[in-house]
This record gives sequence, structure tokens and C-alpha cells, in this order.
Amino acid sequence: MNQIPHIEVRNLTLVYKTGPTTELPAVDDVSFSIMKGSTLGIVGESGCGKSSLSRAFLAYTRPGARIAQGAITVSGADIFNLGNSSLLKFRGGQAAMVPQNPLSSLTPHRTIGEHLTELVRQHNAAGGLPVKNKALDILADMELPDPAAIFDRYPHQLSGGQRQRVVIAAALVAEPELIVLDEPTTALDKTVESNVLDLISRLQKRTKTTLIYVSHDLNVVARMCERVLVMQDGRVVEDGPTWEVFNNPKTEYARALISAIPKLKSDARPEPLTVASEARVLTIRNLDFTYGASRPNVLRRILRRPAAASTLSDISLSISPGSTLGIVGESGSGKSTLASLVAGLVDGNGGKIVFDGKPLSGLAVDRSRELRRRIQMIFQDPASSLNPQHTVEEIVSRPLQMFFGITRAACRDRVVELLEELDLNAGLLARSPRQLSGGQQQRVAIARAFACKPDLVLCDEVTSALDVTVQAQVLKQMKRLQREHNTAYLFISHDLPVVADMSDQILVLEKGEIRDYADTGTILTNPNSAYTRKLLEAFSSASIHTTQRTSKHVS
Amino acid sequence: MIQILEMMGRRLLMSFFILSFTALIVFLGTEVLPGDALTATIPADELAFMPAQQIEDMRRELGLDRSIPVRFLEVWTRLMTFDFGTTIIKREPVFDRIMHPMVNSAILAGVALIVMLVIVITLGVLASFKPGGRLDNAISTTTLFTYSMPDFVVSNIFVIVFAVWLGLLPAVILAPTNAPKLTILAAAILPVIALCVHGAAYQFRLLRAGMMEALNSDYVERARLAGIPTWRISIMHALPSAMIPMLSGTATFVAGLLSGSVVVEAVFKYPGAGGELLRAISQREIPTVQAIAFLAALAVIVANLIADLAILALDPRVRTRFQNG
Amino acid sequence: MHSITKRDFLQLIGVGASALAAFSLIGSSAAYSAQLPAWAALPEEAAPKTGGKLVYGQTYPNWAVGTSDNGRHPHFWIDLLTRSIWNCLLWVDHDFNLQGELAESWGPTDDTLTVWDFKLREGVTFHHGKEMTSEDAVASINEHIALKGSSFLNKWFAKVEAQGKYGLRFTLNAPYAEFPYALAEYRLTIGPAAASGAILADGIGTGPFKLVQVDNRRGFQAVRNENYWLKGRPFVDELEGYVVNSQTAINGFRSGQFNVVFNIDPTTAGQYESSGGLVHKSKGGDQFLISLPKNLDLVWNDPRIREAISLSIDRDAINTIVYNDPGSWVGNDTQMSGLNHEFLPREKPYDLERAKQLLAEAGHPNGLDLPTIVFCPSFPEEPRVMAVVAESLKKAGINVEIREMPCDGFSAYTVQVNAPFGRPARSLVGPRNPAINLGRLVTNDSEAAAWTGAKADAFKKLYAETIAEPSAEKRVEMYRECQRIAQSDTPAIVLGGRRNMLAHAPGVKNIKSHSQNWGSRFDDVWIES
Repeated sequence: MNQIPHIEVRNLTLVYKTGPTTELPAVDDVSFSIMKGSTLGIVGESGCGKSSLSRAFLAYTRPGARIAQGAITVSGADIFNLGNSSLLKFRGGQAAMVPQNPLSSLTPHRTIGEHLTELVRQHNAAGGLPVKNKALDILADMELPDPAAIFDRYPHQLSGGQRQRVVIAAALVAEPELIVLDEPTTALDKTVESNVLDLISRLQKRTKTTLIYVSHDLNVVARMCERVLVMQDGRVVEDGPTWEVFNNPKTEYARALISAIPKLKSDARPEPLTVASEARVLTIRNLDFTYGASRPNVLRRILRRPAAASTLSDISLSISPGSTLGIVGESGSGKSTLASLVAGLVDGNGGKIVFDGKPLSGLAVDRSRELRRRIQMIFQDPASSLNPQHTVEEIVSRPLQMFFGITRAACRDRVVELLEELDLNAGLLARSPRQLSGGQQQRVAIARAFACKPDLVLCDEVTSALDVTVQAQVLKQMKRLQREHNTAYLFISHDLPVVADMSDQILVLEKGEIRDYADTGTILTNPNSAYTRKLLEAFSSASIHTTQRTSKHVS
Repeated sequence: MIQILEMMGRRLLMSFFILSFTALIVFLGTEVLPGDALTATIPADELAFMPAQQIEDMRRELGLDRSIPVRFLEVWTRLMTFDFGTTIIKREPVFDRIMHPMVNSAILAGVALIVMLVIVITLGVLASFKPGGRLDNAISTTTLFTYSMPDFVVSNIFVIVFAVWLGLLPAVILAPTNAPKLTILAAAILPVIALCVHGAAYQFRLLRAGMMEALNSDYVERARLAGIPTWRISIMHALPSAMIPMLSGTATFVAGLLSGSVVVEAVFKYPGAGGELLRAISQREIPTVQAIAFLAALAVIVANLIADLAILALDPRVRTRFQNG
Repeated sequence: MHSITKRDFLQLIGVGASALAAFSLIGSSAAYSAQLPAWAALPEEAAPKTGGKLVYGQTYPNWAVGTSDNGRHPHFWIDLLTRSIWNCLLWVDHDFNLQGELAESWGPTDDTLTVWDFKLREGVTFHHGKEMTSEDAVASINEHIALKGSSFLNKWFAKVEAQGKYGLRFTLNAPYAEFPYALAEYRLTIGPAAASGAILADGIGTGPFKLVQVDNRRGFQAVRNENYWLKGRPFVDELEGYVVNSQTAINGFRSGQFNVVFNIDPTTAGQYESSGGLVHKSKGGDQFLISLPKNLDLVWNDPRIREAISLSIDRDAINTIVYNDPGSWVGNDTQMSGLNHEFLPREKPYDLERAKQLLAEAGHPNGLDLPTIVFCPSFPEEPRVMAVVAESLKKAGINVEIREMPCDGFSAYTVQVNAPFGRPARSLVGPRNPAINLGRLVTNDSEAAAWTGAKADAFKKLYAETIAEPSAEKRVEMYRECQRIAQSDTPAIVLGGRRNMLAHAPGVKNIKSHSQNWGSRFDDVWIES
């Protein structure tokens, strides 16, 4: 192929300011080169410098960061020394970035059309067409349904997959020679991710664009890239063809990364389910929910706005004490609504929820304090569910004071104990949630839930925002807590391998209806519905067992 | 649209309670003060020659001897029907007396608000081009300084510099209360600028915080990485969302603007409602105090409603929320 | 304006007394020329110019402005200087002599002093051209009575009748020798006759200026009355006045918007002078009276202590420090002003030795503590006045806190306890004629402050006889005797009066601040550019 490297990185060191005079390298003396039209994956845990590196390809550093030494040349040009106007042409014109979070990466008050036409004009990319037509064309290229309708919508009116396609469309407007994708599918459901990845692959092959794919998700990198760099602490620790790095990792770090990936195994749960047990902590019979059917009173409508919710129809399920029921489905399938109903955040309008033998009244405010204690909920985003004004100690001790009347002073020991059960250091007591890492935040949220000594914990995508290694740790701790406290979990996730790992039984939801409901083993080996099979397919096709297929492209 | 009307309806209901509450607080406030309209109005020199019986009779004639709830209910019913009643001593319509001062104050506060928004947005955008740069630092330091300067200090400095030293503008506004509004507008130049010095600093700090947040957002980073020029990012991408925290603080801000204008009006002798209010309070002229406080509270509520509509216009997410619920 | 020394002043009073002996109760404005009354005489060698515009700032607005929006009515005029647009029947001049304004002469019909006849000036026209007659005066007076315009008039008034075209007859409900003074009060202007409610409400008067525009919350504009009855006056073409606060007044004066500022804060006199202004101060002004309630178990229930307090206060220091007017009159512990011809100074107002001796006699050889006395700074210099008082009392071993209170609600606060006398507090006394001044110790509970006993009774009796005494000559001595009685028992402490001050640009000539700050007039002012 092309012998002249498209991109050359030479001794690149990128540092962040950590104090008035101190700096810390995020990328530390990195050198490599990329051929035109090739695909490169960069993997590593969060904080390894891969995101900083990805932005450096567009001659961009975040505020507080600077290039301390080294250079990047793209097609022979030193991109750190571009003048202002050539820099604007380079960014978006020659090199484009697909950022991580598709919702927050689109300006909320501008329509999709405004986003795209702005870029078409900026980079003179209309190619003789009217600007709007060019924008519509590119939306169509992204296989988006009804581009004309999408054109007039605002970002929040699109689904996650649609938004990501729009972001990719925006990157491709000016037909750049280099696309950098920074975790572009992390926030997406697996099936959607699969589609988006296919789209990117097809586009890359068609346009012969150089592609750099940054991710913590090794499955995806394996699927997309010929070559992979493994980064640790700002340094490249492994560099080679993808199949070779995966099948034969040279460093301990890479091995750990690979083994942390949850895999789909039919023998996921060693102990067989005790079906004999008659006790049921939660039973739901023929539950229906349609948004808007139940109208909260006027005062509540003034005070709080209702959360967006999907419909559910004819849902029946039950959970035994100390066991886990996994709920799997794509976003919009109604799995979060189900959790909200059990938690009493919204009121159902048909069917029955029975908790510990007694009917459960609709809204949490109507429930007894004891019931509210016994049912706890953990959310996906701990940062927004923990009060940033409070310290860790205050957060965890609040339920102790509220439900058990423990005095503030007496709380501390119990709080420390709870934190230690989750491998959290007592030194974190005085910190605020913002001063904690994502994994620590989520563990504090779990500690708060367990402070209530609950019988049932509703877990809504609790590990989706975490790195794989952290995720594995948190899941392990959750299992241990369940054993020790004999707590039942309603475990909700879009990630089938994670659910399979945690659950005794799995319920598959699609569009508010049950597609499958059986023991974990049965679901994995012998699913009933076509939908479940499709889901299984999406996950296994993304798994690293298929690396050999993509590795054929490496020559 | 129906949902927006519904929101406004809800707001009106809330406003009713707020205004009633304002009326109550004002009433109790003037009630707590020693003395009543009679003793507060007639100078001690005169009162000294009035026998106690005569004062009692006058009090009865003016209805000041009735119980507190009766008088409050009367004031409240009138306010709620936008009938401002008559003054206590001379029984003249309150509305005629406060109309011009209120309009003049509205001109002062309104013009100040507009000028301030223009200044603040211009400075906010300029400062956002290079956060932490020389211009940003200069503006931020200046606003921190002017923010900490009380209105009366600013006003007096303005008078000394522009009127006494430079002689550009009059030190004392001599126009009568009912002067043509163009005259009032011309007279308002210095007071408006004096109000802006403090107010713009407050608003700028809110806007800058909003701009910083917006500039650190993922969507601004995406726009930068897509080669959009800085000015365009600041104005088209960052500014609309950056203005939302500023707009959310409108109620506080307008209330501050109104209280600031009382001070500024006094220094420049601007024919506004501030002086009228102070005099009415010192004379225990409760219907007048009530009317001015009521209209001021109304102004704050209306400003807040406008700000809510502006937020609605700026943020489609809020719009959708209203359409769904 | 030259200041007078204490000695000059005492002499002046002596001369006044003998001159007064020649006076009868019949007053008249002894003509200085055919048209002009004596008080309108200009200073010698004055060469007044006609023209120009006088724009004044006024820091002392009419207290009644807020009660009505009608600034054309004299009761609700922007300030107390109603003599810009209107005239009253009489005027109290700068030396506290009664002068004819619209009245040419006046007097009681007999010794009962209950019926008084007034002869109006002929040929006086209102701004709209109509001649002023007794009909207008009667209608105006009746309206003032109906509106309770002045309690000094209402208190005595029974009826008023026209006596031909230019005659007026007042009938009183009791003998009152000083009745004419009541008609000099600034509110009691004469306007063209009309129905009650409409009369006086149109801004038409007989005064030197014709009203063009007024917003009584802010200011007014007026132009020369070409047909003013005082021929050749006023000198100024245009007159404008604006109500402003102290700081704004200075700003306006400095920027040249005002060429006169009335009632300046004495502490800011220097600021006016440094910007080229001249300050004119009157010889008197509102007086500060400290009431000493004597009904509770208060230390000053012993008259020796009250006298000791009085003698311990260095009142001349107040005049010197606060008003830059050393050596002039000081308060004599009655409501009398040093400008009253009947004023009787204490023999030795400041006598530390005697004070200490009195304290020792009363059982306080080492000094004593007094209850807190409250005041509100109605005038900006008052805190300084009170500081001098507290300081000089301390020198005599008398410790007292004189506490400043907000003026808003001050009178209500002082009478809140110990009705009707209230707390020991400072009252303001507007300087007026001796009958009103001394009458306050009889009728005004809080200023009499529970003054009882033989001396109080004697005072009351003598006062009643005095105001019914037809002979002016005898009255002067009786008023002095009243003061002697009061001083021997010290019912209250009067510190003295303030000096009303105005500031004016050097080009404004012959403008004077009046000891009754409502008494200034504009007839004689001219402007040299």
C-alpha cells in the first residue's frame, strides 16, 4: 500500500497543569505512524491518555493542557504550527473528530439542520448543491430514516443511535482524510452500537479514510481495527496487529484488560436456581402502564415535571428473596419504567404489584416509611443521584438516622463498616461526591442503599458508565453483599453479558412487552423469541472470538 | 401552545399568592412602625397645640381607628381589583399620584435593563474569546470592582465627574414628574449608566459563569474540533445556553434593580417612584406604599415571566418538556 | 451681615424695650414712601438691577406635600416659602417685628382684646387681574379655618366679617393680645374668593411671582408679577425652586443649576464657600428643648439638679462650634428665642461653680448619672450639638447618654411610655411670639413635662393675665416675669436656637435667611451678573 505515512507522531508529550507550577504528563513521549487508509485502535483504561492523544490529532488540547514536546504531522504538515485560518480548514476539513457523548456533543438549542449547514458553509463542502440538499444527502448516507424530518429536529428529540449518526454525519461533511473516533458507541445499546459500527466500517472502506478508533471496549476495537495500541499511564505498552495483541498479550496490563471483559457463557451461574422456594419478595401481575393515563394532582404538576417514560403492557414477574432477576432490553424498551413503577416514582394504571405478600400502593409518597426502607434504588449516574453539597459521611448516614434513628455521632462506625464492605477507605468520609472517581461514587450509592438493610434493590444500569475493570470489581462486590444480606436484586441493563453474569433469571423486554422470561441458562442457550436471539447475536458478534475475521484485513 | 398558556396560568395563580403576601408584609411592616398617618404627617410643633380629643376625632374621621384586619382587607380587596384607592389624609386618588413616577421609574429601569443586557452580552462574548486572557481578566477585575461599589457612591462620582467637572449633563434633574417622556428619557442618561455600573457587573458574572460552562461543554469542543471560528462558537453555540442562568436570576436581579433605582433616583433627583415610596413610608401613607410595592412586585413577576418565555425560546429541551406535560 | 456680640445684644434688647414703650397695640406699616412699607426699604447705596433668574434648591420641603398632590394650594406648596406666590395679611420680619403685608393697619376694638379690626391695603390685584377686597380675605380665612390650616389661628377664632370693601373684623373666643401674629403664619395666604374647596386651590395669589408650573413633589417655575402691589418689585424676572436633599443641593449648586440653596446643612457651609458661594445665616431658628419629666422617681425631680444641669451646659460653645456664631444669645430655659424683644437671658447661663455647689446641696457632691435622653436629628448638625452638651455635662460630673434615634416615628416613640409626658427627649420649638412660646409651658404636656407646684401655678396664672393685658408695655415686663419664674424652677432645658443658613452665588444680592425658616421672601432680591 501507500509507503508514505499519512500521520506521524514523534516524541509527543502532552502535559496537564495540576497546580501553579506542577504539571503531569497525560501522553508521555509517544511515537508512531499511520498509513493512509488504515485503521488503528487505541485502548486503555480511563485516564491512560488515549482521549488526550485523540484530540492531539486535531491539534487540540483541552484547557489546562499543552504540548510539551514532539510533533504530529499529517500529510507532511506540522499541525501544531498551523496559522489560525489554516487550522480552521484543517479541523473538520482534513481531519474530523467523532466525540464520545452524542447527546452532549450537539448544541442543544440548534437543530440538526443548523448543525450540518453551518459546517457545509464553513468548509465550502456543498459541491455545487444547495447547502440544505447537501446536508440532507449526508443524513441519508447515515441511513437515517426521513432525513427531512430529522433536519428540523433538535438533538434531544432523537434517539441515542440517531444522534450518534448525526455526529458522524457532521464529521464527514467535508470528506476528511482522517477520522478520529473517541468512544463513539459507549453510550449506545448493543444492537444500535453494532449497526453504527457497521456503518462506520462501510464508510471507511468506501472512502479509504484513515480511521483512529479510541475505546476502552476491546470488543469493539477488535471488530473495527487492523492494528491496536495499548496505552497505560500515557505510554504505548503494546503496538501490533489486533489479533496478535488479543490472542497473545505481552504485558500483564493488556492481559488484565482482556480478561475483565464479561463473556457470554451458558454456565454463567454456578448454583442452580432454587425453584422450590415458595417465598416471593416481589410479585408483579399483569402490570400495564401508559404514560399520561394517570394524572398527578395539580400541585405536584407545578412542583415537579414527570420523567419521560415508556409504556408497558401485561408484565408479570416474581423475585425470590436473595435472588437476582435481570431485565434486558434496549433503551425505550420500558425497563427503566418498570423500575420506576416498583420504586413508586410513577403510578401504574393496571395490574398489581405485591411486595412481601402485601399489595404495594402506587406512589412512594403513599407508602409507609418501612416499605420505603425495604425497597431501595441505585441509578446509572451516581454523580447526579448523590447530593454534591453533602459529604460521603452525610450521604451514607442519612438513611441510618432516618430509618433507624441512630444518632449522628453513633453513625460513623456503621458508615465506616458499610464503606469497608465495598472496599472504600474511611479516609473518603469527608469528601464530596465530586472529589470521587466514577467507581467510588457508585460504590457510595450502593453503600447508601445497603445502609437501609433493604430486601429488594432496584439496580438501573448501575455499571454502564464505568470502565470494564471497575465494572468487574463493583459487580463482584454487589454479589458478595447480596449473599451476606440475602437481598434480592432487580438488575436492569442493556448489557446482556453483565446481566447474564449477575442474574438467576432473565426477563427480556422489547417495546414494553416480555419477549422471554426464564432461567439464565435457558435464555443463553435456548431462547424463545427471535428478538432474544438477535440480541445474543449482537453480543457474540462483537466479542473478541471473532477477531480472526477482521484480522484478515491486516496484510 | 396550550401548555405554555397553562404554564402562564399557573404562574398567574402563584402571582396572586405572591402579591397577596406582598400586600400583607407591607401592611404589617407599616403597622409595626410607630405612629400612624396622622402623627407621622402633622409636625410635632402643630401637634403640640392639638388636644388629645381633637386628634382622636381626626383619627376617627380618617378611619385610622378601625381594627388592623378590617383595614388590611380593605386595602387588599382594592389592590386585587387594581383600584389603588385614595390617600389617607386628603382622599386624593393614589393612582394619579403614582402614575407618572411609576412610568418614569419603568423608563429608568427598562432602559437600564436593555443597556445592561447589551453591555453584558458584548462583554461576555468578548471575554469568552480567550478565557483567562488579558481582556477577560481586565473585564472580570473591573466588574468585580464595580460590583462591590454601592449605587450611591457610583451615582455621586458620576455627578461630580460628568456634571460638576465636565458640565456635560445636569447634576440635578429638574424636570417635573409629568414631563414629556422624551425629556425624562434624556434626563435618565446618567442614572441609567449609574445603575448599569453595578447591575451589569452582577449580570456579567452570571453570564461569564454560564459562558465558561458552555465553553467547557462537549458541544463547544465538538464545534471547535469541526473548525468553527471562535466568534461563531461564542455567539451561536455558547451564548444562548449561557444566558439561561442569567435569565433564571431575573427575579432577584430586577428586584435589585428596583431597589438600586431608589438610591440612584435620590442622588440625581430623578422623578421616579423611589422618592414617592420613601415619602409615603415616612408619612404612613399606607395606600400609596401598598400600591407602589404591589406594582413593583408585579414588575418582578412580569419580568420573571418574560425571562421564562425567553428561556423557553432559547432551550428547546424545556419547550419539549412543556409540550409533553 | 455683621454678627452681634452678647453685649450688643443685651443693649439692643434694652433699647427695644424703651422703644416699645412708645408703641401701642395699634400696628401699622409706617410708610417709608407712598407705596412701600418700611420693611421693603433697601440697604443704603443699594443699586438693584432688574432681570435674571433665581433658581433655588430647598432642603426643607413642606411637611404636608405628601398628603396632597395639588401643589397650587398654599398648604401643599413645595416648601414653606409661600410668599413667592402669595401674601398673608401680616409678616414677621427678620427682627421679629410684626409688619403689614396685605394689611395696612390693625388693632383691637377695645381692652377685652376679643374683637380685632384690620384695614386692607387698597389697589392690590391678584395675578388674574381682579382686585383684592375684604370679601377675598374673609373667604380665604374661613377656608383656612375649615382646613385647620393653623392651630394658632383655630384656637382663638370665632368668626371673621367684612367691614366694607377693605375692612375685616375678627372675633375671638377669648382675649388674646398677640392675635395678629397668628395671621402671619405662612399658610394663611389670601386668594380670590371662591367656594370652599375651590378657593386657594388654583395657585392665584397677590405675591411677587405668578405661578407657571408646579409639581409640588419636585419644584415650580414662576415669572415676575408685573402688577405687584409693592411697586418696582420684584427685581428678578423668573423664580424657580426645587426640593432636593443636602447632597443633591451641593451638586446642583456646584454645577451652577442653583444660585441659591435654602436651609443648608451648617456642616456643609464650607463646601458651598469653597465653590464660590456666600453663606447667610439668620440670628435664630428652631430651638432645641430638652424635656425633663418630673413625675416618676427621676433624679431631676429636685429643682436644684435641674438648675445644675442647665448651668453646666456651655451653650456658647454650641454657637461657636456648630454655628460659628460666638458671643450671641443662648437658650434661657424657656421656649423664648433671643430674637423676641421680651427675651430674658439667664444672669449667668454657664456657671460650673454654681452647678457643682447645687449638686452638692442636692446630695451629689461627686456628680451623678442621668437617665438616657433621646433625640432625632431633624437637622443634620444636631448630633454635634448634642455632643457638646454631653461633653460639657461630663465636665460638671453629670453623666448622661444622649441617644440618637431615627426621626421617622420619633414622636410616637417618645410618648410611648409615661403618658402624656413621655421619655426625656429633645423637642423642637419653632421661634414665634412670646405668647405662643411661653404658652407651651402651660398647654404642651410633654414640654411642660409634669411641671407642678407653686411656681408652675404662678406661671400659669401670670401667663393667663399677660395675654389678656392690653398694654404692650406692661406685657413685656409680665413676659419677663414669667421667664423669671420658669428659670427659678427650670422645668425644661433650652439649649438655644439654630442658625438657619442659606448659600447663594455672589451675584445674588440682598437674599436673607429668616430665623423663622418659613419667613424668607423674594421681593427684595436682585441679581448682578
